Amino acid sequence: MRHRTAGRLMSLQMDRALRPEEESSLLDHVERCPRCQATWAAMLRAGHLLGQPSWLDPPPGLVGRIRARLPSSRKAVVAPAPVWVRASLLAAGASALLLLGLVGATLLLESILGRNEWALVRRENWGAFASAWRGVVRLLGALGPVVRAVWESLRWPWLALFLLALAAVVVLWAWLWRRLGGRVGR
Amino acid sequence: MDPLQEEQLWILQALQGDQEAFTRLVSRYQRQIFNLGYRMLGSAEDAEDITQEAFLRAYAALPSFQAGRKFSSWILSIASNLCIDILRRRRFAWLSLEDVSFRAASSLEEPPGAALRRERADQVQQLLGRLPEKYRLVVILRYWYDFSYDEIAEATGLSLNTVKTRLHRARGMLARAMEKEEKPCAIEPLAG
Repeated sequence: MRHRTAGRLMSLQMDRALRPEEESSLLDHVERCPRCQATWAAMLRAGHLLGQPSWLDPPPGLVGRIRARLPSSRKAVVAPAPVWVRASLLAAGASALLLLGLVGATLLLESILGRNEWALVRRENWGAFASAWRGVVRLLGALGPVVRAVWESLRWPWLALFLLALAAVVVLWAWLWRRLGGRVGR
Repeated sequence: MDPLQEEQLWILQALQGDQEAFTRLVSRYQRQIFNLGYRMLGSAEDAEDITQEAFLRAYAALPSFQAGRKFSSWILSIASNLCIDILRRRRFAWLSLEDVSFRAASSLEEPPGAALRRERADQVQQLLGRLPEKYRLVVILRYWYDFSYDEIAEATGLSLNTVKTRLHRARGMLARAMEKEEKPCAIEPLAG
């Protein structure tokens, strides 16, 4: 048995979570291995210390202070982020990922093929791909000016980067809003 | 009425706006939350802040509380998240037990064994302080609250395997720390 495996089993053994065969296998190893004997002894000492936890008494009047802060209406306390924030966070994240993918693909093609970034899809071998891609682009273009702007941005990577940064700011804002807005138990 | 039923009743009453019912929940769990905050953050002042904040958030989120779930697990998970958030937000400066003024003030004449208990508590706090926060939390939930792996997973939102791994690594770190100290102590048998 390796030391690392023995260490993992020791931790489980401290919680009585080992099967009998695992326990006896660990025992065999520890008996023969001085290093693991020392580790086990130290682990037991730490467990022994932690196993007798000392509890502190809360300061007097804590319950009263909490009660005094309870709002008359629950709405007055910061509540979990509303659905629209979570939805916008999701949408912004998805947009950022889409932009990132498109910009990455554009820059990659440009670096491979020079300025003519779409030359690859015009090759005979890529005819079917180009056709399908044009279909997707037409569909995206029909979805509205924002998507069209994204599509247009592929011709100007700097614009795409600007949009990407904008999306990142939106994601960051939504994340901060969520963090500051309160996080309750899962 | 058993404590669980009693709690469910208090929660229902609190949901109807009965603050007294919620205060009874606070009274029952303030010690647990305060101690979690203290063990995680190392200061009584921060522990009180965490306790207040955890209960206020619980009160606000009470409508989302799932009936049948243990209130203790729920409030501990809220407090755990708060502690982790605080530790992430600021660089953590470990405070010694001497900073706990209300304890010192109330123990001018210590009862027999108090000094030994305080020494042990200090030792434990030092041990915990050596652990990164994510490991510290699972150790506290395991040893202070006697949580099972499942309960720790539920309270922390971690997977069962991650809980086991963190406990294992935490124990490894603690063992190495103990080995360095080389304090004499009787070695217990493996099965013990």
